[in-house]
Amino acid sequence: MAFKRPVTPRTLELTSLIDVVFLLLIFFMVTFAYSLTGELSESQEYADVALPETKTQLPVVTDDRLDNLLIQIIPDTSGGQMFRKVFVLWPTFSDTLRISRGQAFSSAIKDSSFAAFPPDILSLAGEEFATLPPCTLITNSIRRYVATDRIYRGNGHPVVEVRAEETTEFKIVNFIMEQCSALQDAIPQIIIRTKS
Amino acid sequence: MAFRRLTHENRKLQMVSLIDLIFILLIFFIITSVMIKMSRGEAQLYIPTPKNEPGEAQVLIQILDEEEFLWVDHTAIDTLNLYTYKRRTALNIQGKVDLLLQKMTLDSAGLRARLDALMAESAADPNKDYFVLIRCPDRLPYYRATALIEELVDLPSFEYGCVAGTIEDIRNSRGIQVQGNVIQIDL
Repeated sequence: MAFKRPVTPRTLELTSLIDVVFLLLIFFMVTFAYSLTGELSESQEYADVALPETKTQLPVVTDDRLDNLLIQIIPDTSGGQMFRKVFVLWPTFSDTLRISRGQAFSSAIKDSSFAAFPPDILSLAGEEFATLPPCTLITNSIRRYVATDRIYRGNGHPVVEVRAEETTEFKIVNFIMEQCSALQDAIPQIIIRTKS
Repeated sequence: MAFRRLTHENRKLQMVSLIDLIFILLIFFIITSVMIKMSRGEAQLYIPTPKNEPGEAQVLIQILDEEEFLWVDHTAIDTLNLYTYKRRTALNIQGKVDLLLQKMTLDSAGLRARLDALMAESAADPNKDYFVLIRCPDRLPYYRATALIEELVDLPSFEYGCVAGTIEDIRNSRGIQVQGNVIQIDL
């Protein structure tokens, strides 16, 4: 007896196809966004050192490669009052090794390369302000950076980067600019990284 | 050739697939809107280090407040001289500052127009150097000053200084004098 196979039309289900294509698209977009910001891994790194919580709009660190001295100003509201912390993130001077901002941030914590401004910085006079621990940290770091850069990079011009929320007081950023200005021949350029 | 008419059953909408698609589209637009916000990221501004040395400036821009700027250039000399000539009286420091504030305070649009005029003037005479001094109060967000610097950095014939200071500092200064075509502010 001859059996006959039932013939079913092999049409493509367009709706399901679009469904799957959209799902794949969303999946790749989300994973790409995470790989750009690297916030998941960095926030994990941040949590490891048990810093006080901040209410900053800025992601604390990103995965960008760090080539210059980065002075990062982060607002902290953990004590009920808002004050700003300064972190100095150092690049490596090796030709073959580069570090990310996340790694530099961890190093800054380990090396105590950070300090906090008191809440009342606007009432302090210029000289008094300049003797605050974060100001001396900034001044010493910039000078040491210029000296180290001369040794390791030779004729290149060191660049200082400042990373702060746009609401940061001019007094703090101006202090950094003044320090660079005092070494103008050594630091011809500053990079300001602003997040609105 | 005979065409087969669509029956009523064939025209039925697949509700499950439709809802499925609508949900996926919804998720898609939510994620893209989040990504647009993320992609704004942080702005990077490359600026030359300011030259904060005592000297002459062609333009002084004193940031007064969030949206107000005092623009002092060579036209300020005419303003002060005209007032003195008309009233036959010399103004004290506070009077001069008040007069400048009254006549030369700009809002954002006015500042934009002045900057454009300055750039046009600079383009017309590329050999002429300009030094612009920006003064910003300590309490203001720093981007008020950096936004101004950003306007000037691309011009090759410009140099700038950036210092902290308020209009009250100028009001309480040791003196404002007009000598020839120069205003001297002795802070």
